[in-house]
Amino acid sequence: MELSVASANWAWGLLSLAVPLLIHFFARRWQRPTRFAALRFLPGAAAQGRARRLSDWWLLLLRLLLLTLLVLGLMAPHLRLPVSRDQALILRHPDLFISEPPHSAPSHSSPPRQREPLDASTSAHDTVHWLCRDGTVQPLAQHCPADGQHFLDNLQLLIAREPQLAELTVQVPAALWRSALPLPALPVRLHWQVIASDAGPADNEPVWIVRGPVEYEPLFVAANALSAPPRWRWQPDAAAADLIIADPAGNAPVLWHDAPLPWRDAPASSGSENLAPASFHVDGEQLHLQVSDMASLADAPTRLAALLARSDHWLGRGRPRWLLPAAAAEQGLAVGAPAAPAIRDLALQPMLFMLALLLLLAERGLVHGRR
Amino acid sequence: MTLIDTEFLARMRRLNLPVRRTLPGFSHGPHRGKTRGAGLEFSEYRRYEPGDDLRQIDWKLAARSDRYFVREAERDSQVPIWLLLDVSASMLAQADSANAGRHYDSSRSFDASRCYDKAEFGAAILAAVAMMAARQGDAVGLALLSDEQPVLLPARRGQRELQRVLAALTKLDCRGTLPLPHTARALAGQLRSPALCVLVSDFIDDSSLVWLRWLAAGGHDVAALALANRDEQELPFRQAQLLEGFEGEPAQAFTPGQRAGYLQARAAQRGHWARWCRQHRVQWLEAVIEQSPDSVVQALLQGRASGGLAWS
Repeated sequence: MELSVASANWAWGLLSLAVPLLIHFFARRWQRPTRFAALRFLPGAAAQGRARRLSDWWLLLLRLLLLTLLVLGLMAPHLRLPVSRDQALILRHPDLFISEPPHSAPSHSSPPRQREPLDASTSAHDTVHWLCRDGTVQPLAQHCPADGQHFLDNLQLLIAREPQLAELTVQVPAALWRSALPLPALPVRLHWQVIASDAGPADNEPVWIVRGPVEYEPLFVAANALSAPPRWRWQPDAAAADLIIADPAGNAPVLWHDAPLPWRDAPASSGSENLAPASFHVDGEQLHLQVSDMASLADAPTRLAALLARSDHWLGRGRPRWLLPAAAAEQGLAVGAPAAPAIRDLALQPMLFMLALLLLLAERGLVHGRR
Repeated sequence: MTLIDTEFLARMRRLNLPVRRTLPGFSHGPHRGKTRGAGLEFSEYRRYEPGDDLRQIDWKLAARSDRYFVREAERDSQVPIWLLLDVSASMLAQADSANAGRHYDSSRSFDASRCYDKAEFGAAILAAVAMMAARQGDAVGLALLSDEQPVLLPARRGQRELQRVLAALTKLDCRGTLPLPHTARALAGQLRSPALCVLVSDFIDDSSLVWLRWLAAGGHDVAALALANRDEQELPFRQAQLLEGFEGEPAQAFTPGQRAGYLQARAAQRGHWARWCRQHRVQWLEAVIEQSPDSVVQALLQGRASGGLAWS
């Protein structure tokens, strides 16, 4: 438990305690009573004296306490209380309500997807909740609103506002898994479960989306011809692509992968020895990616093939599974670890001001009651 | 400052203390007794009855009237004098030092830094009474009335007993409140026979009246001396202030507007007691302690001689 104050300068206000003390003692001195034996003949005699002296002391203490509370309230103290983390929660991405997987090869033989929530391999159904886009946690029977923040932002906000959470199991769709941004060190233990709504191609091999200038399309047509089944799908206007070809002005064209950053330790590139991690803007979007050089795709088709093969291998590490094993999932995104216990910050200012108000009412009541 | 000094006692010794009511005494003394018989002063004649002492027959009257009459005389008796002094805390109220010195001779040293209080003034009055009583050969007893530290000196004759009484009167310890007579069992045992009782108190609370009733019911010759200081008599305060009692009464804020009510209430109480004393043949005397003890003693003796209410 730790006590801190926001405005320590208000502590000088404690000097004001001298005011009621001085008033009290000077008043007692001025009001030194005269001894008189025949008090009984005074009209309207009331038993005030000794009680009045006692109440004077009580009033003094009351006023001192009132001033002290006021000064402490102005200092805005905060009490930091450790909160034990003992709760576990299973959260599901709201997109899992939609069964259509991203980036999967269209399969006409596949039955139309049902809009039903996927029941992943979790036995504790009553503990699974939606983490909706608006940041709320809803039971599976409820629906989530359509608009809101990014899932990972909501996840971080939830962890921040629920200090008692110790462990979270997060079920996310494959697209989020592949485009996940690094999370800061979180004081909870995260278990990722990647859910794929469809098996994808029959052989369970992914098809990578490629985007780039149109003149490079034939290269990928040729690459597809060399592999079965086809591994590359040319989609120049894809919003999210696995492989991007760009022509930075004045530089050789570059080929890089839209791979999740946790794999920074992966082989640097698909072929270029001069690799350096860099940040590129493609179509106005900043990507933090591994970069590979390709001096000339046209001049080295075999080299391109090798590059593509390496890219394929590189991209394959992010291949979604129905449910990644817990160990494999934790190799990916930063799962964090239970760090120091959460701290609940308790503001004491309202309570101190309320107490001061009550003491003020009591003091006024005593003063007027004596009269 | 003590009022009981040798000069004061010497002046008081020359005075006489009369007993207003005839009381049955048990030996000869200067006071008029209730019993008839051999004595110093003729009282009356009565017809001779068989068994009377033949020496008491007035033979001259028998020669003139041819009948036999016995000469009766009032028996002078000795009456114990009981001095009762209220030494409750309220008797600590002091005299107004600015006025007290006026009543004393310039030759007498007067310590203005400490003035005497009602208890000391009352003790001086009782010391004067004790001196008179001792000179008359009466037994003198002393009771200092306080619920915390009462003192009782049985009534005895002699100089040694007088000195004991005077010593006790000069060493007063006022504290507590005035007890009720039924709690003063030792004193009740001493006051079985009628006596002259001089009760000195400020008569502020009702327990003083209870003492008066108790003494009057016992057939005693009672003299009540009510003492007050100038502040209590006139309440001369002109400004609002806090007044605090002596016996633990709660303090009270005083405003000048209360003065009239105070004087009226005090006068009513005093008047009530004075009437009661007149009805029950108790000598009632009021005095302020700013005057000289000599004048109060004179007023006390005059009141006894006149048999009525006296105010010195």
